Amino acid sequence: MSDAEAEEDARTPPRPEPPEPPPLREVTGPTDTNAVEQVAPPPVDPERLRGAGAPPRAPAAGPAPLWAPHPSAPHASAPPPHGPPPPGPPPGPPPYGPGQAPFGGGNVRFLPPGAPGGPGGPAGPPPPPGPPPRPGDDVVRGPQRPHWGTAAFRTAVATLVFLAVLGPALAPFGMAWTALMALAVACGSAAHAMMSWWNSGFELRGDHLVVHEGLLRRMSREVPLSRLQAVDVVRPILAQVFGLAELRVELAGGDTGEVRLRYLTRPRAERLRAALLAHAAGLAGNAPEAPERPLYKLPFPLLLGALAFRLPVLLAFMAFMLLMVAGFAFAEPGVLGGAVPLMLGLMRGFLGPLIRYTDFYSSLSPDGLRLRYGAFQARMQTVPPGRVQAVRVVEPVLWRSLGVARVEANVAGYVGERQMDSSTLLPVAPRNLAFALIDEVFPGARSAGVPLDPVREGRPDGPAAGVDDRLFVSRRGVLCKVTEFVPHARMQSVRMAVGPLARRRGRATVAVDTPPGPVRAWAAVRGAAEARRTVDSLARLGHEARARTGGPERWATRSDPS
Amino acid sequence: MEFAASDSEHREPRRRTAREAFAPPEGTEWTRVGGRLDAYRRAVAAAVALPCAVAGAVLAWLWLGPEAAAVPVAAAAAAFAAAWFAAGPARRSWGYAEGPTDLYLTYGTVVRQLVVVPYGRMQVVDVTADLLEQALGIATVRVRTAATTADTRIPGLPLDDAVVLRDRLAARSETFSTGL
Repeated sequence: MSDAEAEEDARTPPRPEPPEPPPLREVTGPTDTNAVEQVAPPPVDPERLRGAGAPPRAPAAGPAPLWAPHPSAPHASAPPPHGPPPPGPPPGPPPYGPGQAPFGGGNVRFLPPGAPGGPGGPAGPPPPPGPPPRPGDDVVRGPQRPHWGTAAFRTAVATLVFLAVLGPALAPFGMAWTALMALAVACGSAAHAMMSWWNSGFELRGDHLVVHEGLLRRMSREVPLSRLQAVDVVRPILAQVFGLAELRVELAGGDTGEVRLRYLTRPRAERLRAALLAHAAGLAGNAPEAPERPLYKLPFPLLLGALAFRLPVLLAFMAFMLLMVAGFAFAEPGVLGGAVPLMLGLMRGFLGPLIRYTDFYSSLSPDGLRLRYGAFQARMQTVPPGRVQAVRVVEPVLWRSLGVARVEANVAGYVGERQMDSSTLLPVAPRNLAFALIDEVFPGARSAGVPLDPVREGRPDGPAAGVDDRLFVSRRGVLCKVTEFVPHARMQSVRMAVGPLARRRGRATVAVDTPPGPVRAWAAVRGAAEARRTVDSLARLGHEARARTGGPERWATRSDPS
Repeated sequence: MEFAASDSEHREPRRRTAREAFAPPEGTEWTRVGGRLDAYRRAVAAAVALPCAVAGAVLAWLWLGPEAAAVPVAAAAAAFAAAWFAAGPARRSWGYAEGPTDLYLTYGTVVRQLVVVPYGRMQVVDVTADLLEQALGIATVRVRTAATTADTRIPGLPLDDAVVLRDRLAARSETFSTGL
């Protein structure tokens, strides 16, 4: 595949004349500085926010990667802060965002917060009623508490679980007893939930997020926001009923490296998310939500078809049907012993992803890559720039005939059980788009253009490895083709190994270590000498890349492509 | 057999390529670890082999009779002998070199490994010594990066050298630091 193709395809699905620019400037131009000054007297530095005299950036025109040039913090050209509504008449429809995305946007579950008439949710106490926002009302200032609905939500969950688990057992005692017991449980859990709600809180203090919680074992954590790896807003089905959302701040610290704020109203959660990302980017905390550029919306038929059109799923389904038919034909209940595990496997391998990735929508913004998906558990993930450590493109054998692929990534915050939950960047996408996404995630990279050197002579489609000035690329796999990408700037260490068998076959292994995740980048190369050359060049390129970029912290204040 | 022929034919060049492939970085030499690592390895092997031999012998005696008790003892003795003789080459295979921007590390006799750890990527450098190591006066320097897949440690250094190396690596990781 050529570069041009990849780029073109990146543009094709979601680029019918960027919808944002004209209305955006009209609406916000005059009030921009005004609003900023009103909202935040002390900490704002308009000079910094606007990016030292840089003209307002033309938003996302052409193929220029949105993340790469950061000198003029693109936040500045965005509409005024959302938390408090801007003074004057509300600016009509939201000036950007998926609300008026080219796809009609009917299914998109997360509209930009604060959009008038947007996703209201039950307005909690905080959303300020009047135009002049008082300090303390805004979620980014002063000590805060989760929404009071959290207590009600927890009570409801506890009662429902109690009824579901013990209800059948209690039924023989009669309706009245059951109701009484449920009431007792509700009261008890309500008391507990109220107390733990009262005792939990969070505060945005400078560039740190302070969280305390716990009833018997008090816990207080202070999180430096420059170290955050990803911010997710998660809304399980019951929380959706209550209009609540959970905010998860992922940090690079293993299984405990996660801060969960449960629960906030959705506008507040999204406002706080924007504030956290702004702080992490090095901007003032009241910088508005960054504008976004749609990247891909996954049509449901494609998701359904692609998930079904995989060898394991098809084989399992055929085996399941055969077993069932045989069972009915011979009236043999023993087939259930094979059919039930098969069905469970199908539910896990087919139904699970199908439900999880319903309404998948991804977009790019200066804050990073945003993913929104899920019906029963609606999630919104934001992975800031430079936080993606490695990416792989997975192409199962049948998908290659459809020209689609799956994209997974290593993000340092997504470890343990969250790795399975969150590390998929694109569940099903056209192959070209997958490569285009990699180019966006690693600015300056040309993932489709890296020259690959096949291990076996005369097998250009077989396992191969390649290095260019930005990426280490490894391709392998016979049935399921996996292509891995690690940018030099993100590489941790490089290894080579030569075992007795490999020595005999004239092979050696080169591995590039990254923080844990689905990507384990290694490649077989031709001989130890070749491996050593690769290792040396990787070490040199890695050093150059690190010297060039510095760290990924405060990405909006720097101009280098990370 | 194509492979066998080419193997015997090119044995000498192949050795040389292997040596070149695992050569230290330009301008440095591999710093090899001290001989006390042999004693440590052998002591560990003995500490494993002896209880295994005793337990195996007792069980075999009880179940199968006194003659059978010789089998586990012989097996444990063979394993111990193998460990005894493998300790020397294994120790000689360990080596580290401090390049200008990266720490190079090589080890392994059967599967030869070369690990390159950039100083800027080191998150933690620590020195550990268990009881036996303490008795022998040696220590292990372990370098941790954000990746969990690489096993980057240098065993068998004299304690003082280990502490000095740790401080040097930590200082360099500070100068080259680039975050995650």
